[in-house]
Amino acid sequence: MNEQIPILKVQHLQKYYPIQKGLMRKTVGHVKAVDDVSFTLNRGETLGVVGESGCGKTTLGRCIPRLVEPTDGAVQFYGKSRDLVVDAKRPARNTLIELRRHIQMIFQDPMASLDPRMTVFEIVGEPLLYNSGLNRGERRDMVARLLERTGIRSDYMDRYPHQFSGGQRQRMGIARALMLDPEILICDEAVSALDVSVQAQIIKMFKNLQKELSLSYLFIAHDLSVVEHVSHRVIVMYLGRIVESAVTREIFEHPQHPYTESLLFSIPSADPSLKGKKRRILQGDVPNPAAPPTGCYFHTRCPYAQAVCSREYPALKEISPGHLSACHFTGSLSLKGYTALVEERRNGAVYA
Amino acid sequence: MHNDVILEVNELKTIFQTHSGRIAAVDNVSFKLQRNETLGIVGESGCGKSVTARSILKLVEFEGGSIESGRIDYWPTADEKIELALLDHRSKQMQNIRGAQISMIFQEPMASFNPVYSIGKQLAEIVIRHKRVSKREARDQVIELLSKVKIPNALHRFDDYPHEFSGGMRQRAMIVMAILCNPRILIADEPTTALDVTVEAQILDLIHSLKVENRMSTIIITHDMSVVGEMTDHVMVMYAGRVVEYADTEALFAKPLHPYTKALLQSIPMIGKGGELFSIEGSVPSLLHLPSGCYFAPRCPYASDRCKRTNPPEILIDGKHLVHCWLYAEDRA
Repeated sequence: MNEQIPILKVQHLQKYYPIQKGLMRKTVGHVKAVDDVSFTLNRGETLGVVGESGCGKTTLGRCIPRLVEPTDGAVQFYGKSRDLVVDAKRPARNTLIELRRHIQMIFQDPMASLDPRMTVFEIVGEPLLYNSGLNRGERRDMVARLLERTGIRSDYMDRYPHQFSGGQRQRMGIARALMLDPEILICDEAVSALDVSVQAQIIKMFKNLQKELSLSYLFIAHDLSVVEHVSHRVIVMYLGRIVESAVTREIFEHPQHPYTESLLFSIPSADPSLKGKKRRILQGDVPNPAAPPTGCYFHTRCPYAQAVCSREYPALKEISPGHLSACHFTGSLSLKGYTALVEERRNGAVYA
Repeated sequence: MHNDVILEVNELKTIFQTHSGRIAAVDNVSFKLQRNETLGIVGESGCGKSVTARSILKLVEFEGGSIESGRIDYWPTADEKIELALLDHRSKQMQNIRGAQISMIFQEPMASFNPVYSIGKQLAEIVIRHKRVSKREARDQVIELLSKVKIPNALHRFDDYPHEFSGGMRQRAMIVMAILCNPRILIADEPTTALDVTVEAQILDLIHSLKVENRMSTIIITHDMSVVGEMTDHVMVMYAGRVVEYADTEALFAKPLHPYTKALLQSIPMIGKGGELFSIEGSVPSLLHLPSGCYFAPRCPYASDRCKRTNPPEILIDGKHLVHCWLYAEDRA
């Protein structure tokens, strides 16, 4: 992790969904689900992506292996064996097929992503059918090995998904994703649907796998405590755009964007001594992405907004090495990190 | 001194008859709710927390369950007692209590509203049913409460349909539904689970101020320990239908006793505290195939032979901290 070697570069990625109206399906506008997003994922790193629902996290994750076709942009992959470049507008078929071997996805709902009519062997071994010349016996050995590695007894191989618990199903999804020895895993809310005790098991497994297989993760989640725990760096998104990105500690202790600060003061504290103490509340909902506000998208909810914020969208600027923020007043606002916010609340008012 | 207690549940057992056999979703659960108190019920999925709440309101009987034994005593005032467990779930008396005196906020607000009637109409219906007021008066009351829970432009939003509300707004409308008749007890079943963290903060803030303002006793059901820490005075931890620990929230966080509670607290990632997460191996057992003895024993790192044979009794520590675990028995081996 000390030497930062990029494994994935996403450049100016865009996904616009057309809004069509009328009999002729005329396009009257676009929902900019992902709007000019660029970032780098380093080898062996976990990059967290956070934001409220509808901010484009999931679309971003799906655009990278082209499960959703991006409108524009490029994805560059620097693999162990060779480098691959996929241009959103002119994707080369062979490059794309190879890219998908190296970048695998893990989804939120393991029941929805496992075919109920296939056995565990068929599900987990399916990638081998198309990508290896192995015979059935060899495939069974491979599947058994990966199941054991992800914590499922290999003699359960001929059972069906419904015979397993949610945590076990998520393990199967992970086993399948690891089948072709990928270098990057995109985890889209991979632990959100699990009970806390199982969630902790899966998080631990992700960490161990990362060490053993030198995997890189794009970890998409809405739970900030989980993201803080697993990520080396974090990207904060709002309405399809990156508003801030930095190493995890900086994001949580020295946020530079008012939206990041709002996310931080929303986190429940798990501290009974703060019970009954008022805290700051971010009011309102995420605006309609089909008609985003003018200027900075966050100005309608931002407690620090001024006149300029409703006119111009602030550029994403590097404010210190590796710390990017898109706010007109970055640097001049005194935003608080998580520890300072808890302290502020401890000394603050109570509910009357 | 019974006058401080508003709800007392005693050795409640709720069962469901399923295709594969009979299950006790709630097994011998007892607790007291004081006036103006907030009680948290925590546990993972399938531990019986929702069924406990639904038993109090006698909703389980509409869902194929039944209260097999135990008492549920509700004290509307200090010297009036109603035994809810004995009432018929369809009786007039139960209908008058449900929604008016004891009401509930459900997890999934979309499933709790009828999609073909406007939000306003559905809310006004409750006022008309319970308070016997005119349509116009009901409408005014609903609009007043909708603006109070910060639904923007409540006057115009009154005629909106559920799908026209955002997730956060639907949850607010759900809260309005629950507090319309100034209930004495509010039960919130996973009120923020489906919501974004910013909206979760808004909703918790709202429940807290309404509780203080309306002097309600509250039960919050959640799997999220941080919501418990944030909101409750007492906590009851459940596992596979049984209570494993009950304590003052601060005492529970400072000194959890039951191995399951300890594991729950250690398995949530806390910001700023790096290091390895603690995880309990295995998962919650199926209620159809429960182990003998203590239900947690198969996953418990401290389990002895006795734990696997006999269910531990309720043990009282420091006069008020209840735990069901052989580790704290006087004669422990």
